[in-house]
Amino acid sequence: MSLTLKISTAILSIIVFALSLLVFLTYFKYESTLAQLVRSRFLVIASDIKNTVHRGLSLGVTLSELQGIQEVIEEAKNNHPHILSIKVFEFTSDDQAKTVYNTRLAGIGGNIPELWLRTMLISKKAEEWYLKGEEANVIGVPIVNNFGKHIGGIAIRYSQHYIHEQSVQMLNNLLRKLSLILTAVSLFVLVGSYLLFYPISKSFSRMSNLLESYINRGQIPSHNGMDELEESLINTLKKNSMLLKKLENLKHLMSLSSYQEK
Amino acid sequence: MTNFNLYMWNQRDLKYYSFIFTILVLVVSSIFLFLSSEKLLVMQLSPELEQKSIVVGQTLINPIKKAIVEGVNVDQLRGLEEHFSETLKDNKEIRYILLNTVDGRLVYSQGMSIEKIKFDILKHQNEVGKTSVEIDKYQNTKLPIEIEGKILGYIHLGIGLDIISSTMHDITYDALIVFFISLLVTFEILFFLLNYRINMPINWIKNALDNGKEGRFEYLHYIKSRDEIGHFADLYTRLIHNLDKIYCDVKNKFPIFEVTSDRLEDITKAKHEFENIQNELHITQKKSRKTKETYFIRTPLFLFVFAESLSISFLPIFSNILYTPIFGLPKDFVVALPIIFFMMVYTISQPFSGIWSNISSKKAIFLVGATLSTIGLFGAGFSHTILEFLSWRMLTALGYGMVLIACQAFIIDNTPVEKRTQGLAIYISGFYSASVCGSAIGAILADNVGYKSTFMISAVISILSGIFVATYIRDRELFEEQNKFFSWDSFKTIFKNKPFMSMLLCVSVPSKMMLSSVIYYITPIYLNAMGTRQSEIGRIIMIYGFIMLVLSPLIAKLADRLNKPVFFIAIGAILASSSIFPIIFIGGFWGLVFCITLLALGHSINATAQVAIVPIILRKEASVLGEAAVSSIYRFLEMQGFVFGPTITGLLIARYNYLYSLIIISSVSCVLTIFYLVGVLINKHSFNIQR
Repeated sequence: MSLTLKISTAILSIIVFALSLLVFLTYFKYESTLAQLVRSRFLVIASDIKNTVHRGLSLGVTLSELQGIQEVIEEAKNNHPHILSIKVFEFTSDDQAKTVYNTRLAGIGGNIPELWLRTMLISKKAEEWYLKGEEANVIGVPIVNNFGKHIGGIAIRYSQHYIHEQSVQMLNNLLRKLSLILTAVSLFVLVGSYLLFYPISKSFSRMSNLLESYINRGQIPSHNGMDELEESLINTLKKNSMLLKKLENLKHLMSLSSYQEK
Repeated sequence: MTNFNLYMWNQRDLKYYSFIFTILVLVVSSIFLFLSSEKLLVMQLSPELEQKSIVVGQTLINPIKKAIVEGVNVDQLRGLEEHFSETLKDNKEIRYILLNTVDGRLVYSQGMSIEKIKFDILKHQNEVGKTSVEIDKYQNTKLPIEIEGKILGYIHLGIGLDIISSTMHDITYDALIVFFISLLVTFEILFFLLNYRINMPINWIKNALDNGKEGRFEYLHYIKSRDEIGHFADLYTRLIHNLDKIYCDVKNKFPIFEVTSDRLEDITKAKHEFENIQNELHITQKKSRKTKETYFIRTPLFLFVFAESLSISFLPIFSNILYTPIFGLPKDFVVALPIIFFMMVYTISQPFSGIWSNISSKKAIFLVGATLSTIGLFGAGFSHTILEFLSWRMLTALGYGMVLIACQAFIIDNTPVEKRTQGLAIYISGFYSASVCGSAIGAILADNVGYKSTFMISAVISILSGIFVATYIRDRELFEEQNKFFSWDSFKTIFKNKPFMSMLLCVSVPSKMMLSSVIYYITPIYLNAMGTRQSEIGRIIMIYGFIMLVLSPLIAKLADRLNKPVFFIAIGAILASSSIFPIIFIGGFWGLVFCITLLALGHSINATAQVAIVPIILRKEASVLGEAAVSSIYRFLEMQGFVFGPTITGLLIARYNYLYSLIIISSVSCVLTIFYLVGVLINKHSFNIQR
């Protein structure tokens, strides 16, 4: 691997690190903004149902006797494909609630999960509560009667799949942009590194050629137009050549002497 | 290239130009990516904004339709303004709602004035197809009021597009932090790479060639890179090998020649020649060249401290999440326990690691320390209870102490006494630069991927630092200077020095107390309680490290030039103590920001002066115990502030609130500073310290 490539790789690694972090930040920010928007959309639906329920309650009708609520929640579910279910529930005790209306008819009369109720109770915002799940999220609003008492709530369970799908799409788009930018940057970095490290690269290539030609052919060029290192190399080669000659002479003398003796 | 001085170019300019070039590319590519991301965000979020508008619009249309069906005319609807106004209140991103008749007459409107855009809205109303269009800074969505196939009017809702720009705004801050950190990382990596891959081998080659001119030839087989430099080193090694081979051949044959040859004159001549050659030719073959340049420890130190600093901004918040009652201790004190015990173990591990570093390899200590820390960080991420978390943090602290001592000892081992301050400056700047990067990036990570994953990332980076040391750092085989460490007698000797003790108790320990209380404990937990975003907490904590990183070296130079260390200590202590005022007079978020800024300013002024003054105040003691020993004792004593800080703060918060606790701690520090200054003024003679 040449010097240019090595330096380019290092510079590119730094740029990849920084740009990947930017992509990562944008992606997570997008995901959270989208989740927030989706949540607020379903909150509007829940609040709308709540208003309908409150209108009925204000007429003095009990929650379970309200008319048209089942149709309202079913219509809301049909209009919004990401909604998995809508439940209208009523407290039966302090820590229990049963479903009064449900888009899944089989679920009517069933108990509300304890976690939902706990979240609802500890929720600081009295107007809404929210639960994030692996597959689905739940957004809920309380139902308050004419005396200001919490008598139940409305919970919309909606798919996480939509947010996930949109986020993956965003990530893919971002990665596509990143790869385009990185391709352009790679070329630029390669050219830049080549120009930056050209003097070193060139000088060492020249010194290697000098060395090779000396090793193979015993040639030592003159000093003209060389830098400090190259000059040192030439002087070293001269010294090497001189010592080699001396050693060869000595070897010759020794072999000659032995030959004459024979 | 005529007379181009490669050696000089390489040493001076390459780092500079490479850095500028990388930054330039980084800036341009970041801007491009940022702008593309903004476009993508608009593109991806617009449909969701439209969906929201449609849902809100439907809730408005339904009662209107009902009223119209019952016979009320569109422009005679009552209570519509209130209805619109309530909707606007519940949906902050919607800026206006209006009802137009089919012929474009405005009947009702609520929210911001639409005077400027009313014609655009009307134009949109008359267009066929698009439900939403961008008008000025809003996304206008039109919804028809349709009864029995007849359109009677339109509801228009305008969502402010600033929801997207505010998203980008949030990202901008984080992106700036990422960019700033990339600068520091660029500096660290390029610094290492250019030194390790280019400067160092070129220096070795230059030495080899300079020696070669004199006949002292050296094999360069230890330069193993596969680039132009490595290729040259291979060829050079071949050259030496050829010479060595002939020389060895002659050398081996010479004794036989001496015995077998009868020609005395030849023997004499050859002997003379051979002696000449032996005098002129020296061939050396080193097994390896040691990487003992002090700056090479900076990169693993940076990685390690970076890994550890990732959790600084959320440590007490994470403790708070894991909190369960322990032995009836107050909650705020229990939450501070992981910090207290971390500091305690870290402080205690210092002298032991120091002693170990005298008898063992620094590399080994670093590797053991990094391994312990890595295990601790992994464990911390998987903790389910505060006690588990506490245990893992203690293990991390043990490793942390060992690694920091190993790095300091490596620098001391590899720098001559006269260059030690410069060597330690490499350590300090590496430490703070990593700390700044780590705390900010850690907060961003925690904000996005959660606390546990951030601990995992810390552990992985900690492993990287170990791999780096195992691969690149080689120890000295001999430890020439044995650092003397603690004995009770040395403590007793030092405790008798009044100027030292007054500085220690009134300035050094309170400084560390303030640092650990304010930065590591109160800031994260206080800002979190205020609802500040995690990445913002990280940015605020970063202020301290950033000021220290930038100002410390500059002030150190100034202090050296003015040669008045006591003056700098006093000024620094006054500034640090005055950090109480923003808390009292401004309070809240900005009060804390100014408090941290003042604290950092004060510490950057007096920290280096304190370290510099110790060997001077303790000159007599240093002559007996050694300079390294007195400095180590000072560091050990000063670090007790790290333990006391969160302990006292935890107990205070349990009784009072964050604000009062902070005021009490700052006041104590302020009073102690005044004591110190009074002491200096009264005993001018004994405090008259100059180098």
